[in-house]
Amino acid sequence: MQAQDIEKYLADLGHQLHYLEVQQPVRILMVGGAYMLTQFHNRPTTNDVDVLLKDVDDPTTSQVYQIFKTAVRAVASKNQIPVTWINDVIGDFLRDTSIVPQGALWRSYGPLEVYIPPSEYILALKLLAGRQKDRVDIQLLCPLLHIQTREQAQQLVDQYVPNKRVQQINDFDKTLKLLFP
Amino acid sequence: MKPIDQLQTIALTYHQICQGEQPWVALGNFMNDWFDYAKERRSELVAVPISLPETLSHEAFRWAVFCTASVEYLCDRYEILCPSWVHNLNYRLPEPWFDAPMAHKPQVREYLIEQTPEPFTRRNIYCGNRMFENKYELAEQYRRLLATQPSPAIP
Repeated sequence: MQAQDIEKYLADLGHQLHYLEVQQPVRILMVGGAYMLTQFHNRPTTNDVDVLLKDVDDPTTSQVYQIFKTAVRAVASKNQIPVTWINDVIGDFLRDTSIVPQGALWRSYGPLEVYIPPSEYILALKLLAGRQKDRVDIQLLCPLLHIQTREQAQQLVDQYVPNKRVQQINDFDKTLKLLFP
Repeated sequence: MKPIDQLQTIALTYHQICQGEQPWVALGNFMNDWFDYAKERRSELVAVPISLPETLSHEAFRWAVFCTASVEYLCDRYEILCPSWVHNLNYRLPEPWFDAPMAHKPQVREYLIEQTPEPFTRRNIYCGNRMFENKYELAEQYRRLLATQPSPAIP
């Protein structure tokens, strides 16, 4: 998915939500590869659009969430793309384990409002994940945010993911050793 | 974006890498299918062997070996019958590939040697063990851990 695809599908999603007569804004926070692609243009494509729905605490009981998923399916069907083009599977994890920033409004498409978090939050998540696929983003964001040492990286992750057990699950200490030997 | 009904097989993934796609974008799409969209069809995702390009660059061969090691590793980990093509002895690098930003440092190499799973080290790839960490399993892993241990005190 390229940057223009992301914007097109998000615009379609806004239209669908409008068609479904959604009155309240549906606010999503965009993270992951789609964030890096649209904000830093450091890659030509991304796998999917990772988002967190800002006003949904429990997807199993939220009416807004059900309407959102209906609209997502309609966009997928219209464009002949997988229904998972926009992916909120990481949402619960982020809500439970990180201090989710409010973010800044990036785009509005009818009732759909797309927010972006500060890049510090994205770097904290990328450092925590510590996968090969995150490396290109880490290498871009670290110098930009003046993260040069293991201590600075630890401090940044502590700021957004203070739960040490979550850091342990992710083997964050090993990632630090690898990235800041 | 790939069509709705097209499986992101390992053969397609490697083909895309050879065509210039960023390796971790193509592999990320493969991971999405393996861990979520097509997790009931894992055998199909790895059944067809990767196909080497006519002109094989050093980089393209590295990724061919990486894809091969990945299939063996994932099949073993998720109890899928491993396709015979991955046992082709030609899929082995002549020189070690230490895949990390600071890989010139001895302590990083030591760490990679220690952490990398055997299907990769046997093929001379040293990349650590986090390459297939994914969002689909992470949340589940976290829930399981919390269920077995007392609630963490968030500082």
